[in-house]
Amino acid sequence: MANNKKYWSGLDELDGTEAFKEIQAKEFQEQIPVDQFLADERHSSTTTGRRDFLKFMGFSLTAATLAACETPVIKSIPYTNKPAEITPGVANYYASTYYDGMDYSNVLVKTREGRPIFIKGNTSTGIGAGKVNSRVIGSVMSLYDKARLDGPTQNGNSTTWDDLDNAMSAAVSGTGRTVVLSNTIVSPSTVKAIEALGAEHVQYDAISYSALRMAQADAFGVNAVPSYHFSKAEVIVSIAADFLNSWLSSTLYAPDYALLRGPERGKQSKHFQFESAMTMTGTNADVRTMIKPSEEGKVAAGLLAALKGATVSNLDAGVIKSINAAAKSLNSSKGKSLVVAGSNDLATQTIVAAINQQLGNYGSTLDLERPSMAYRGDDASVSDLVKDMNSGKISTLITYGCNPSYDLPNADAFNTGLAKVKTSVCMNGVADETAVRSTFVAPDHHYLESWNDLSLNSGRIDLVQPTIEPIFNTRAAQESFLNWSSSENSDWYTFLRRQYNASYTSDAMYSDSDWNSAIHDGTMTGNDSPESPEYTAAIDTTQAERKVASVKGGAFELVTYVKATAGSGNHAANPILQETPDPVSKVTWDNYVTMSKSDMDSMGLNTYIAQEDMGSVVKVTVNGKSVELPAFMQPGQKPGTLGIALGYGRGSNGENIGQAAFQTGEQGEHLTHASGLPMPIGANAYPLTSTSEGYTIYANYDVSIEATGAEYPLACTQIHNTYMGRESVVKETSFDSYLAEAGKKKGEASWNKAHRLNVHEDTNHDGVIDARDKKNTSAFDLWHSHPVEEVGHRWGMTIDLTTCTGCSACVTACNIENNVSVVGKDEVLRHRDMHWIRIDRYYASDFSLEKGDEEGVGVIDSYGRMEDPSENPQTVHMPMMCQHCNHAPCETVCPVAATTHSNEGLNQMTYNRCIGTRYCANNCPYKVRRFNWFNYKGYKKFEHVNPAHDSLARLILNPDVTVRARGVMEKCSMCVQRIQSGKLDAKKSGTPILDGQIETACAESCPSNAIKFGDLNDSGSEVRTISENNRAYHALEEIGVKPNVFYMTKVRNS
Amino acid sequence: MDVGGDTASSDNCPTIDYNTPEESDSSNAMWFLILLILFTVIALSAAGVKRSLTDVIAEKAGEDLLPDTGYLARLGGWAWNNLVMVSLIGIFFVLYGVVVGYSALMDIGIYSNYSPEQPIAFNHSIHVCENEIDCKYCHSSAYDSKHAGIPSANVCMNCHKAIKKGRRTGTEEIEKIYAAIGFDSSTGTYLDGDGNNGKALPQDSYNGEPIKWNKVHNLPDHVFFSHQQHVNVGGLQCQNCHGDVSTFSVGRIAPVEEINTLIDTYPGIIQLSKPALTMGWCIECHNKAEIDLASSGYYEEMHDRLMNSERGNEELRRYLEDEKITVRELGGWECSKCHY
Repeated sequence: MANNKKYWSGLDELDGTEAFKEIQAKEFQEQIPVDQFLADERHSSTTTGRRDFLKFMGFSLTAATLAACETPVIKSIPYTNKPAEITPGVANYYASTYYDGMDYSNVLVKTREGRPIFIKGNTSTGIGAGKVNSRVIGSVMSLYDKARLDGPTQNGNSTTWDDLDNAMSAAVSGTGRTVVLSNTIVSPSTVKAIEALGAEHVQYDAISYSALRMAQADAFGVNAVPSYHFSKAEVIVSIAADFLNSWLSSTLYAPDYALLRGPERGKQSKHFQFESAMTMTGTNADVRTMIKPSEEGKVAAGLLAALKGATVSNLDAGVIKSINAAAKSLNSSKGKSLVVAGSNDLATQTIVAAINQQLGNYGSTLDLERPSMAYRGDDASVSDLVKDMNSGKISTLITYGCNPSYDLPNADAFNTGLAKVKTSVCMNGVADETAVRSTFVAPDHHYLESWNDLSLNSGRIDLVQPTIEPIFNTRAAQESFLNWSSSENSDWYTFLRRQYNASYTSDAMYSDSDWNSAIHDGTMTGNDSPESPEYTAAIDTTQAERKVASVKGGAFELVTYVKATAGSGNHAANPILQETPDPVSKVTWDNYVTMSKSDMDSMGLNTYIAQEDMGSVVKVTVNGKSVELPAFMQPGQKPGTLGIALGYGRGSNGENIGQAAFQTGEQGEHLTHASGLPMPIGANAYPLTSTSEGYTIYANYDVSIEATGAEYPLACTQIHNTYMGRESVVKETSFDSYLAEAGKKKGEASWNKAHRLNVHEDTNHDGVIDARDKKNTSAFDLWHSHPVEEVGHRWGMTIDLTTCTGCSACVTACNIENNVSVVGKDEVLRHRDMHWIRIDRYYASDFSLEKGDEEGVGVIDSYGRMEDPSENPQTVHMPMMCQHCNHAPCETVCPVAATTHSNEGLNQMTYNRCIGTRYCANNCPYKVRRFNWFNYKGYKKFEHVNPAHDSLARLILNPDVTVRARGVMEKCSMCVQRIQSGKLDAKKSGTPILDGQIETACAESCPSNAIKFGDLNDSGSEVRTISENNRAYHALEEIGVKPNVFYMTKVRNS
Repeated sequence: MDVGGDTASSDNCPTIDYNTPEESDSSNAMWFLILLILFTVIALSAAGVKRSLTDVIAEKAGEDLLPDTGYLARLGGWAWNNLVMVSLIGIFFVLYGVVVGYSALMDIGIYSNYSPEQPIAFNHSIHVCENEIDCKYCHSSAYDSKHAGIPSANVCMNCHKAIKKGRRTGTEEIEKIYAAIGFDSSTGTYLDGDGNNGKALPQDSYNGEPIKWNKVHNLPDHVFFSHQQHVNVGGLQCQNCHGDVSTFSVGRIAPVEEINTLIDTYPGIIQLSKPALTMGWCIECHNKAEIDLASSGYYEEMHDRLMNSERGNEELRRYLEDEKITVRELGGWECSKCHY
């Protein structure tokens, strides 16, 4: 109800007096002295200084900016005296050899304007197949590291070479023992240079194979690691030997292994793997069995017994079953099989030697006539040396090509002993763990700046030649040795030449045609002095078998292993390798403790790692030494075992080993511990190795583990583990199924059925139009195809999933060839890694929709359970890059036509036109497009990790490929720079392009030849033949984008 | 021995310097501006005179003087009263501004006639016209590489080891080559890093400063241009893109109109219209340049497929409608041929 009351504030209002009316009319009750204010003289003199100031500033700033807006002047600086062999813009290739104590490869180094920018395998004259791996390809980056020392140092202060030489000559020639501690030297000339020093020479390998070597010495009288010929091995049984990744000379084994994979020959090798942690080799095995490290010896003994027909006991039933199956396969391929073990336990290796002998493999798949000259490190001698150092018996110690303060199992003892050595000199090129503890550092050249000769097998000498003038004031270590010796007075190059031509003088430097052609090829035949092993001598394994049977394991056992990208630790400062994802776990920039899911669940650790979900940190203690690392759920890890990668935790005392060797945080800054020391990447697991009876043991049978409650983010590029039963992502089958339908036409075999869609036509001619009328997806076309599709070139690629081992050499090669930015851990965490090619790794799941039907589980729940990989899953590696779809979904949605299709089938990405809408990446079904979220080459967040920031490291950039700016999309271009270059060569010579003339970086670097590139329109090309093979299919065929990349069904011989 | 002096053709080899191209264009504009200022001053003065006279008449008549307002206020008043004229003048200025502004913006990136000063006042007409040195003698990598290159100092020394003095600049410019490479002109030998002379060849140990030329024909980083593709495979003459260098002093980007006039002396020059070194210029030439498929075995199989294609010759026949195959028809307009 309305209120009719009237309200008033005072009597004046009630009465309506004149005074009130007057006041009501005014806005303000009181008088405001406006006139007084305006009359004030001061105001007219006050200028509105602030406003005018802003106006003037704005104008002048704009004017200055506009005036300063000039096109920058570009300088063009030619040589003063140009070497005749360098043409600016043309690459020169030099043959050289890579050897770092672990990997051995003949390489071709691509140089531009006098600097190396790319490394590829020397497939024409190289040893074995002449292939490389990820670590060798990435080694070009370590050349351009500003952390390398620029001259010798004494106690951390720089000194001159002359002063150093005087001190060292005196030390070497003085009284007291002089010892050279090095990795295994396979260079005959370097050995002679060390002999000229008159020093004792102790060799050790960071990853030791002494037991394998001693087993051969004991059994056959040859103290060397055998040469393995995987290309002849139809059956391979590996007991924890990661021979495709890091075991012995994996660069030689991977291509050979791949030769026998691929079912077209009608047979395929059978690979059994017994291991604890999931290694890269294990992911490729046909039959993989999980064992504990303490059981490795028992498995070997069981295999020996099974081969003789005896029953195997003291192992799990599943393991026994696999051993029997392996024995059966081995017995049917005598002389064409290979049993290898990765253990450094003499008993295990003795048994394995006996197995191989019994199978007649010696002289066929492995031989000791021309054994490997590498891996001759003697763990016992190193232990003795450390003891002598601590007793003060060593007066001069020279460390060369090794980092004992970091990777010896008793590194602490070594360090205390090193302090007691009177004169110690380290030849490493960086002030690393050993160098900072040595009196002198005499930095050696990088291998790309060195002369050397190497011999892996008798009868063959591989040469190392410099591909660039030494960048820093370094000197060849061998030259230092010669300078310090009292018997030699020549320089290293003359010394080296004289080994092959005793009458060599420097006048004849270029005129020795034998030497010239050897340098050109990178190799020459050397004196062949084969060993004469006694293959038939009886091997008594009773003692060995007793010993392995007595090994007891605890609740948790530890295996330390070598990762594909870290190696034994010398690649820690290489950002490209740090960011290449691990082939098995897909983790970058860290190491971790691999654990099985059941163990992690029982300990309450976090198994799901993502951008916001961090890993749980655990503390693993071995013999009183412990490391704290995040736990990572690894399918295929034997429950009760742990795995930790070696080669991490470099620079843990703040040694300056390189900017990229230390962990970066959210703003790209180097993280520090509370102590002020920079945080290294990962943790050093070498202290967890131990020595047993003189051999370094990389496993430990009783360790303790506890959750610390802390959390740590892990930058994993692939969180999703299984492919959830999708049809045409990965297709695989067993060898028998393949054989049963091997003759069928493409698209008809059950393991590679062409995808078909329902049509409203009576295609099966049964008179009715129903769900049974289907047509192949390939028959549907949403758009017209390109008119010249069959006329010119049509670049395509085939990837054989059977031979792809997942080694990621292609990833590293692509990154270096195409200037792909390194983005650092924080960005990888946010899934912003820039890799153009990635290797999708899928684990098989026990669950499937069919199984869900049987068990009555609903579809949604089924999908949830399919996300869980099985405990011992089968693994598939699938390299994925831009598929260059002929009906590309990305091309139609670009608002500015920055991505178009070429006449030759390539999907072109035009960086300068791209405005960064990112619709193309949204539309890409394969999610292969990468966006430049930041100015990676300039923004300070990436200054420690991206080579383009550093004035020296940027020399690695490929001048033929644009370095992308912020805000543009990029993706695999199928190395269009190489395609154009190949076409140009063909046009210049007036000849058509031959198959194999143009190779993309990934195809060129693949050790197994799984990736092949060529012209699909060339009827004689390999890719054309393979694309018509009945194993060939397109990824996600059902969406009908018609890619130019074909995958081949994976065939397992299980 | 000093070699220099006159050659017979020196009179026929003029050097045309285009170092100050703006003068010819801007001189007219200056005059217009001066006239404009003059007219404004006259107009304002006349208005002022009129005002004074009006005041005088008003005073005489005993009327009110004109109000003493400021110039701007009076101008504003006049403008408000003459809106049509003011709008026309305003529109004129706006249009002028837009036209001038737009052409200035569209000129960004056009480097025609760009001819920067160089550390050595190298004269192309002496070397090319008078001494008839072929382009590729100095710019030798044009045949083998994506860069044509600027000759390294040792190429200059091939002749200048003997020619120590020039007709126009004497020894001043030639001495700069000697300073870079370490040549002692008095003894005719090279110096080494310790300053000793007597060497027959340039010494690696002589740490001279290389000659830092200013790059003239510079394409952006996102462009890949290969000289060998155009010179070796395409068979283009240098003059087609770089003009008649024999009249230049230092390097200069020849404008496209200038290149078009060379059709008589260098038959085969493709006539273009877009400004030189812009993408439109490259694209235009790719549209016009013809390829003789029969000349190279590279095209043999492709040509066969074109003729025998099952697709229907009609669709592909259009490539032969004009009886010639241009670079464009072979894919020369595709982005990734130059942008990768």
